[in-house]
Amino acid sequence: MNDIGAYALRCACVVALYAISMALLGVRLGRHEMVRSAERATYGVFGLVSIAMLALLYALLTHDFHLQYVANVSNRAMPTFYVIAALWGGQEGSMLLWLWILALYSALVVAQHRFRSRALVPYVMATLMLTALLFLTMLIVAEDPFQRLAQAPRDGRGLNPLLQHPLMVIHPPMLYLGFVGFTIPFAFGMGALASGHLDNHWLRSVRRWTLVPWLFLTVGILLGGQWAYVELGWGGYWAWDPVENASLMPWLTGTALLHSVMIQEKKGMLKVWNMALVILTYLLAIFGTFLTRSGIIASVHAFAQSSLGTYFLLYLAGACAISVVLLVKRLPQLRSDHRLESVLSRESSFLFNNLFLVGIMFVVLWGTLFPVLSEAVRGVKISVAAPFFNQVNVPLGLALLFLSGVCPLIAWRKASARNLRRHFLYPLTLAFIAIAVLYTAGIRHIMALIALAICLFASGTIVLEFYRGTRARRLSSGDPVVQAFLTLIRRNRRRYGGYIIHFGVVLIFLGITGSSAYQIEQDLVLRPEASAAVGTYTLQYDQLSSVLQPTYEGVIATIQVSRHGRRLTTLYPEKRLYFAQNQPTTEVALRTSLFDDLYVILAGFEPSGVATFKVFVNPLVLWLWIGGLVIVMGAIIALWPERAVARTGERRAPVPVGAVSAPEESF
Amino acid sequence: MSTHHVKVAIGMAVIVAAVAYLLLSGTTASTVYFLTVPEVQQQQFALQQASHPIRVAGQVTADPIQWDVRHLSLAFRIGEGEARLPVQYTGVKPDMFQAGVSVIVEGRIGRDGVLMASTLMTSCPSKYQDEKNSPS
Repeated sequence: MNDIGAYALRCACVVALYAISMALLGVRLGRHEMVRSAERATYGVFGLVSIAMLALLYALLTHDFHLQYVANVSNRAMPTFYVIAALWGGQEGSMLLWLWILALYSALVVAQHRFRSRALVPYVMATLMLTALLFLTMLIVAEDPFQRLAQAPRDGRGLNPLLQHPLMVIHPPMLYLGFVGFTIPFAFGMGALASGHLDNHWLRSVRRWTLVPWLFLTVGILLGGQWAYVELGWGGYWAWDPVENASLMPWLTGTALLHSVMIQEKKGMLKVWNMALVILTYLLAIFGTFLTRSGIIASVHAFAQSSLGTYFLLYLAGACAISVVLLVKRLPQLRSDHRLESVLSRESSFLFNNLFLVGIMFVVLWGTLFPVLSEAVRGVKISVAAPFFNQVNVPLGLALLFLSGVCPLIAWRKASARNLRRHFLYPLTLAFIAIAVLYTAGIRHIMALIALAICLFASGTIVLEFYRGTRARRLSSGDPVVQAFLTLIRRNRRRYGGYIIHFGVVLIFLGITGSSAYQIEQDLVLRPEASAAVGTYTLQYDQLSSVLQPTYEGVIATIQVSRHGRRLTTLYPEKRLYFAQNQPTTEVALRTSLFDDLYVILAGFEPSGVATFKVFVNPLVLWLWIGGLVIVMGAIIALWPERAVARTGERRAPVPVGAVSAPEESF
Repeated sequence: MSTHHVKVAIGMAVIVAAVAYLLLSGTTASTVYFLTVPEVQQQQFALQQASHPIRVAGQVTADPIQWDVRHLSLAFRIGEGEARLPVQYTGVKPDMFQAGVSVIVEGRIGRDGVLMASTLMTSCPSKYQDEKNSPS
């Protein structure tokens, strides 16, 4: 029964090879039926990989411990929910999920574009299937999820308890939907370069296909941060760990791409830069998978840990070489239609924003790879610590936040003094007043002051823009305020969705500022019935009690929390010991409010009942997650199909691509 | 080239220079040397004088682990091959910490040759797949 999955993967490998050769041969020979066959083969790969996924899922649900993977990541005592999540709880399974998402995306893209972008689709398919082939090869040769054990154990080891958390169930699929999704803009970019159809059609086609993975990646990164925050128990949400950096890098270049694409659409500029960003984002997504899956950075002795590294490096080198050669070959056709006219213009400000984003990406890459680089160059392994990332990225991030207020409003070509005054006078005044007020209120943390002022400036520009737009609509149509506001957004979803996303980013900066500048950290050693003060909170420790559950035993401390004599809540920080893995875990107790989070960890206890707690007060953390929700909302508004697009976009006539410049002006 | 072009180029150059400056100054300010336990033993005296922190990876040995709950103080030894290094860490004991696990510690070597660690990391849960616990 379980061999079905292994066979399906091997078949998928052959079919993917077939799809690549048919697509490329078909387009070279001008034989359309061969391209059609490649399209069907792409669907076939999706079907076969789905069979493999289902086979593994079936093995997990039936507790078939003959499979090494099943025995490693699941056991009988685990709830079904986590048994399903164990599908991506281990190395092989998560690679299979990666591949499945790629196959799904490929099938969707082919279905959507086989008529619309006929000239590009053969190359798009070849690129997608080549990426699929990389993962198929690794799954078959190096990381076989269907590897059998000579003798099945009576029970499996079970999923690591740290991963048994709802956030960890949705975090990896979200992250992969983002990572893998960046293959699609790359595939279209390769298609445009290889076919020579370098007009803006390919770019329009991938606009959504860039925003969708970007949204998933954003959500994935935030969920990962939230998981680290509530589950790992060190009081923070981001540690500049290589695994985190791996997800941040393609996000940064993807964000740059989302912005610079607009300049190419509107002005026909930055064509080479956009192509380079498409390629870079893809390579970083593959590189990120490589970083997290090969263990090259995380551990010092990791080079021999997994054989995957070689495959990834060879593939990365190959993909990099091919795309650079193609890009160089097409350079003459990628000239700008316009030239930059002024520093104070939208074009320039977008360019600067892109430089900052790519600069931050480079800093993260540098810091992540520093141990490897220094060993290669100087023979000593040197790493840079977390303060490096903060020290370098905080100023860059703040400059970027400032630009996020400037970019969308500054005039095209050349901003007049009037344009600048109209859009930025009030927000700038607001920011300066805010600095004065906050300073007199006792905030002396320089970076926090600057950050808060820039947050206010950026949100000021957004609010002003919404206000002016709504007022103009009211005056022209006579609608009431709410309706005018909604129509405003509906008439230009992409633009106002973008503003909303920016506002979400402002909220995230607010959360980061509060929690990094004003975190309180305190160790408490308390006897039962004793109490202590942390920040404005008073914590009274009542007693310890123990619980026994089927999969673990736990010790729970009861803590009464009050502020200024008023009882707020009772917290139950806990230590658990999971039997199957013989592993203790710390369960954080958290009281969240809009102003700050009280974060309590039971660090240890003595038989006498004396317990040690680590307590954090993290201001404004909740705004990180609220900002994330706002971003999701903004992105959905920007992605929502407009009726006009639905009509023109669904044209099914097989028009040769080069001749078309479809009026898909609205996103 | 027009003056506007020069201005835009200057703007870009300023950004690139700022990134490069921050990058290089940040790098020199926060370097941590990666060393193995045998290397630490060899360079014992030099490291006691050194100003930069070091990062050492090793396995927690079977020697008794002293965990003082009241002071959140953890004393243990890490080893690689024959070499051993005593470590003193203050903070919450990580969940995965026990004899036999691989850890990375970061800190400075004190006069007594003990590594005063400010960071103690156990291997990441996603790589929680060692042969030792394998059911086969």
